[in-house]
Amino acid sequence: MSAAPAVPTVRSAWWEPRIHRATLKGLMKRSDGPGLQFLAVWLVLLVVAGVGIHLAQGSLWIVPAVIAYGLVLGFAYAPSHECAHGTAFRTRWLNEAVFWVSSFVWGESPTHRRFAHSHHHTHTWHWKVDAQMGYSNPVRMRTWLGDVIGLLEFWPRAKLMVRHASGRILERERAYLPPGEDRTVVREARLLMAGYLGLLAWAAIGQTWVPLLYFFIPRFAGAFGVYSFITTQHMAMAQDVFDHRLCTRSMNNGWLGRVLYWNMNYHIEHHIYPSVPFHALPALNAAIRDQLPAPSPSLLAAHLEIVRVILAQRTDPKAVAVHPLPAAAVPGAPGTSAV
Amino acid sequence: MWVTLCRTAEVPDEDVLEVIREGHVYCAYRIAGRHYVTDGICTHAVARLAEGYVLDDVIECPMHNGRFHIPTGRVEGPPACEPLRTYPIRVEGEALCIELPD
Repeated sequence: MSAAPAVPTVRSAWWEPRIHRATLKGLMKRSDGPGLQFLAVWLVLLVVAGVGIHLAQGSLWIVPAVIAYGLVLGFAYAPSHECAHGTAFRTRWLNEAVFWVSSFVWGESPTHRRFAHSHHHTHTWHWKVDAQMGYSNPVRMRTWLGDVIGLLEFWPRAKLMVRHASGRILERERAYLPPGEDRTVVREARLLMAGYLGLLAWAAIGQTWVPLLYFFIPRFAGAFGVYSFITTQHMAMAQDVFDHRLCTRSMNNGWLGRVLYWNMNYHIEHHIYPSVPFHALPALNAAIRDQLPAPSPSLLAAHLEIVRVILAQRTDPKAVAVHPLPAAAVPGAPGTSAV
Repeated sequence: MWVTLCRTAEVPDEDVLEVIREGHVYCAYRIAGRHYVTDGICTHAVARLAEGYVLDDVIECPMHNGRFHIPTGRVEGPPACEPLRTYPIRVEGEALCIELPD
């Protein structure tokens, strides 16, 4: 018997922190409570913002009201992402039910989201390999802007769904979709499309603005809220490296940001140990903080850094955001692993 | 052919022990007092299941969170699609033995 010999795995090449195995296993524990609490905050804010839309109808206040509602609605990303990992709730059916509803709002077939995201975790920020890496260094200013307001995401995702609904799966998608799952993706895309078309039909036949005011328009108008968070995850960081501390950005957020984003501001930590659920990421951070770079101080600071790097890349295409590592934590030492 | 995999006392309660025998990775479990042995590498991507999470009688891969039913190896959750190989076991004194093909 051997404790941890060199068995090559998809994690072997990646840097791993020193953490006691019992601590790590404790952090992986699942629970329904935190997910229900985070979900409740999101839903309460959604209802409050929805009442705002109702009260603002007939006046110009409808514009900020719809944007505010859309800002909240876009954070469907967070439960959808956590449920894709299966770590949102201990109760399986609850995880899958929330996954479906939040993926409908988010606009991606749950199965495609799950497999593409798994691929992203295996090949994080490796250009032309990572299924969810939409741009490469050097980054253009318009890429940053388009990503923040969501335009770079919406159009390709809409095309993706229409293509999947029409039954077409690309060869590069088969790299992460196991045989048989392509049919599931097509079926789910058709179901989601039917849902969206049903809402539009309700608006047209019922002569009502409700589906447009409470779903489609705010989903576009307020998308910049969640995308401004998502953009910080990897943009302008190093690429094609096997150290999540170099290719991923963590940042500090206030309470509301952390709750709406389901703690994904601890993004390095999430990538190192995707089995640790969102609610335990602050504790994971505390356990390995001495081996991590300092997080960006805020959402704004993260974007200012991205803009600075983009400007620097105009003269030096190889420039990337550099977050100094603690002196004791050497990069590129794979398999340090749990002790 | 029955071979000794490890000592039963080494297998943690409600958790998993990785055992490597002749280059093959196994996972040994003790769930509700009963021993089980499965392959130790996830069938979805090459990840060590022993680094994952045991919840009741399900092992979850640490890399992509694919889930397998420990007693039968059947897939309990994506992205895993292929079942996990399980092995017949017997306890001989302090030894946990598994049956391998001859």
